[in-house]
Amino acid sequence: MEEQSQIQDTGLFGLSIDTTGRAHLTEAARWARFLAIVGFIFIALVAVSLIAGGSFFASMFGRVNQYNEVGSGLATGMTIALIVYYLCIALLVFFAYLFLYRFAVNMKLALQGNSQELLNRSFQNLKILYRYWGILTIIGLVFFALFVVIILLGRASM
Amino acid sequence: MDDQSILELQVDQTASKNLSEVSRWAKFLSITGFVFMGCMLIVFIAMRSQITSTLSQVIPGFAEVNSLGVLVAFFIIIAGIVFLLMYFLFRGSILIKKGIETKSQDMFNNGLASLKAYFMMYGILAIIALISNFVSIF
Repeated sequence: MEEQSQIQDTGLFGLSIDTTGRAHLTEAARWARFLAIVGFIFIALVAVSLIAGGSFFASMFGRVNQYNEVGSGLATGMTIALIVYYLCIALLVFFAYLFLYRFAVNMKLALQGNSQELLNRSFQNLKILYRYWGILTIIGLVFFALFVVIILLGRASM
Repeated sequence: MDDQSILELQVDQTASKNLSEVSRWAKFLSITGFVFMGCMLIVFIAMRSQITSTLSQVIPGFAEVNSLGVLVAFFIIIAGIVFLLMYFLFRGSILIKKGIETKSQDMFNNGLASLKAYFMMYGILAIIALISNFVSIF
């Protein structure tokens, strides 16, 4: 018995996914999967509306400025740049939902099949998801700080 | 005993390493969320008169009703939702990290419960957003 408890201490690292943890993780994975699927649909809709709406606006600017070649080119270029910018953002968000989906699916399979490998893969995807959001947040904060500095410098020079 | 160790999934070294990093980033994100909320609150208090006057120009009749009260109520609801989300994330990250460090199963399970609550709340918000979008379409 002593030997068994020793094995348990070294082999289990003290923590396991018990019945309570299993219930929490099952529920978390279910909601995460739902969120990821909703996110995928939303991103697909945004991408479709961006491409469809963008081409509509580009052709509209082209017609409005048909006698002004420079103006037409500028407006079309701006529209395309904006579409590409928003598509890039959609792509960034897509990866976040992909990691969330992988976490959810691997967790569900791990709990169903008692697979340690899938459980670890699921936690790895959760780690990647939060690291990804964290890095994006840091980049956003840096841009915000730059924006504030530029505004302050602009005010100081006025 | 052997059967149980086969049946029960373990938080092994790889899993605990991954979860520690999850909790580190989740803590950072939740603290950023709290600070962002605080900044928004300060901006809202400092600029409330400008916000009300701008809104009364955009929405006719906005100034006639108790506009500041409506605005404050709206802001409190949004702030409350974001605060709760960040709180679940923060609590989850702290408890999971402490649970791994002290090898406390209870703490670890409570952390997982907070993580579940976080995803659940996000999911419910997504459902509300979907329903409101459908309502606005028809």
